[in-house]
Amino acid sequence: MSPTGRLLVAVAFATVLFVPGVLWLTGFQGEEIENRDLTQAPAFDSPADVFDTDTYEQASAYVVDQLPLRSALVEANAKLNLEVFDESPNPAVTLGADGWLFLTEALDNVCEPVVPPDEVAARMNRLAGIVAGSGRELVLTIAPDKNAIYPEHLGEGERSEPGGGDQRGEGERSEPGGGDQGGEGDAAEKGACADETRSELRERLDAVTPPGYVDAYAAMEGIADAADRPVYYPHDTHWTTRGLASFVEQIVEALQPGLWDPEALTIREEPHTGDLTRLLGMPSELETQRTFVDRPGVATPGLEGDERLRPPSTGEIVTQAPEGTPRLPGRTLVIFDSFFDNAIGMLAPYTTELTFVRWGQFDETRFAELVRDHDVIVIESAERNAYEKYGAELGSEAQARALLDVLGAAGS
Amino acid sequence: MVFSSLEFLFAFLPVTLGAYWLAPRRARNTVLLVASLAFYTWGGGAFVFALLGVIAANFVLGFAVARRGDRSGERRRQWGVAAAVLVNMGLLAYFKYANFFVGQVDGLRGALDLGSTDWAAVTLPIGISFFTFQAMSYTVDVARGTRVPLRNPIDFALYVALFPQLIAGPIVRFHEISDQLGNRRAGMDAFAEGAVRFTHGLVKKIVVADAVAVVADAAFATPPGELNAVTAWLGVTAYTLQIYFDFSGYSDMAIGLGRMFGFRFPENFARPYSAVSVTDFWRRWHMTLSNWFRDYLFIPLGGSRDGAGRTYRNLWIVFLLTGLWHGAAWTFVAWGAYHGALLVAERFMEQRPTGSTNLVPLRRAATLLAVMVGWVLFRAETLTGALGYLRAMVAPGSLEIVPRVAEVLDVRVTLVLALASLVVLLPRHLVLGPTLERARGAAPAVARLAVLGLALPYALLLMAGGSFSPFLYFRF
Repeated sequence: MSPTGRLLVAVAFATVLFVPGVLWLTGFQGEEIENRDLTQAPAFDSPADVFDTDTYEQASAYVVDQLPLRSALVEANAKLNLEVFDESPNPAVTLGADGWLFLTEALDNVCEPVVPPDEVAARMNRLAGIVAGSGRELVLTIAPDKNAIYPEHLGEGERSEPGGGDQRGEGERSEPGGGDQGGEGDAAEKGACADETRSELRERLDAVTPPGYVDAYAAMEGIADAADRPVYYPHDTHWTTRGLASFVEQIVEALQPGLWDPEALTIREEPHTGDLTRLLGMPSELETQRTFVDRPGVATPGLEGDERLRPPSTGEIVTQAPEGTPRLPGRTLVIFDSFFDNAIGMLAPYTTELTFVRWGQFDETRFAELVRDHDVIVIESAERNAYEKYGAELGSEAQARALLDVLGAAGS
Repeated sequence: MVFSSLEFLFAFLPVTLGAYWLAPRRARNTVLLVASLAFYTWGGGAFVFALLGVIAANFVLGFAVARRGDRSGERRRQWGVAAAVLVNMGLLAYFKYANFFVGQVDGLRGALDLGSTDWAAVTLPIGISFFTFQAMSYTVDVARGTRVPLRNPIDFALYVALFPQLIAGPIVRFHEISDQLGNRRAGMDAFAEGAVRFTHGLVKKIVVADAVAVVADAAFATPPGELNAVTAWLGVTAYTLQIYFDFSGYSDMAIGLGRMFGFRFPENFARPYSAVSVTDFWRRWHMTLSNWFRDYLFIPLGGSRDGAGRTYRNLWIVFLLTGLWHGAAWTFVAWGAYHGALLVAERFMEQRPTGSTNLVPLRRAATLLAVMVGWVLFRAETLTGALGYLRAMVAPGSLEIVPRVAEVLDVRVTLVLALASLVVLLPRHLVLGPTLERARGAAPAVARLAVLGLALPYALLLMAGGSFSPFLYFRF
């Protein structure tokens, strides 16, 4: 190497090595880009911590989290994968057509359900039978993943059939081996396989018709067909608040016909960062329309501001409303996941008292007690988790026993 | 902490380099030793005490085995070397092979319906295969009188624990580095050479080895019943490239890091897949391990001095132990035995590298094939798995790559696999690492520019991307 070459190499390499540290010292610190708190520096509380490898794992994670420019590097790597290699930077996200993104898990979990569809339907029926049989109003529903409503945006790889969207509502969007027609390799099979499972579950649910079951698939297909814009976000796993509002309307109407007030809907332009773009490492913010329910004179203390979009895991609201405002009587319980985040804020103004509890916040006994203490029960699970939630958790034998024990003891 | 991690590159290395450059010359070994022990503790925790124990024992034993010209010296040296073997190899045997040994005993007891041994599995301290071998080298070199014992414990501890080669080599024999411990220059020139060499290794590891690893992993994870010949060959090709780019990349990084601190470590790889025989392969693959076994085992066993039969026996012993050194499993023993057998066969047929060029491509291909078959033994989890894999390689069947492997063969991986495969076609004498590090001229300069200006930024992107592990929903 020539002396000039050595100098250039030394300066270039030293710059790469030292610049992040210098930036960090001058205040450019890491950003939270992974949907979790940044790792704290290890504490070294006792001498033993010095020789504990956990301490250094934490230290490594701390250094990585604090690295200035890391988010820019992550984003650049994601763009390179996407734009040069046309591949998803994160296998958790499946690239669809027209820039649409899908959660891979949503395909996988439905393709290979932990509990078979016929068993899920039977267990939902048993659960609904016990709850409805106790005299309570019940809504039981599955929030469709967006590939169920917009299969045409899945792209060649995942589509079970070209133009599958045309057959919406027929409950038979795929055929075994459909991958041969529109897709290629494993991804196509997965798409076809998810369609197949979904069709089977819908058929079984049609056949057994659990009390209180609201077919959100049919509802969302109808809403999507009528809507002038997509009712799911292209860059997010969830439905839009517009789509959700229409579905909440159907729930409210199912519980008390005529209660829903279309005039109470207000729409505001708000930025929205798609969770799937965040998963890719290239978060993008879109101006989107947010739908809210603002009934005149009705207040929902404890669920205001941002909490109407992202409620906490559990909460209880006693709605304040002028005398004579029609509302669901008694106490309403909502078991929900992220698909229903916005729904809590939409439902609350129509209830007298609302308790909301996120999945994972209760065991069999607690669920039975929650049901015992409420008059209206709304249970929602995203499609990708429904086989586990309805099949293995709420649909379990142990849960049925707990419900029968507790509801029986309550004299219901 | 591995060299190809963000925390090493952007925290440990700059801090260590900064402290080293700022320290007075006489304190630099102390700085490096502290950094090395911190490096070891970062990954090994309390096992640093095992490392310190090896250092202390061998430092003391070094004086015991040193030649002093007295008549009772030979006996003292023999006892000293025996004690060093006991300490170093005993520690290695316990930590690395005790679980394996107990497993075999339990297998026998199970067959005889005698139940199992009450045994708590031993955790393997990182780098123990390397630092015990280096410590052994010191004691033997001193006992042989090729070097005098070090009087400064810092220098000796640094020889054993020097972080660039502590975890994965190269295995630096004491006589190769003893002069550099107290006297070396670590200026800008050395830093620049080391930077190029380190970057070259980092790129080999991050851009190539990690990419092709997913193919090898998927192929070797496929049950033998589902594996077809096309997939099996693809998998073993990917593994052949992975292990070379990974290990030689790590060695390049180690040599580059050593250079940044003024050391010149011995080369560890010299285009092994261009070898014209298995004997030649072992002169090019993990050269520092081959040299260690030659100097400290093959030659003391008699080497090739006592006739063909003894030579074959010695070769076999060396390669069985070489296999076992790589891991405590029958697959490694089989791999060592396989290579030992090939070397014996080559000796028997006197098939050594010659100047003849007309058969070179054929010999290179045959050697590569033999090596690839060996990698199946090396990579498989069990001997049964290895045999199943080898059967799949020769069984007729579908020409379609099995879905599990096809799934990971995306555009980038396919491209890297194809380009990396070209390494087997390169000239035998073109060893890129040292060429990039030192060579003058336009071509090396362009190559350096490509490595530093294009490949390094890309490797950094991949490292950052690899560190990114987001949650769909917020985790507190």
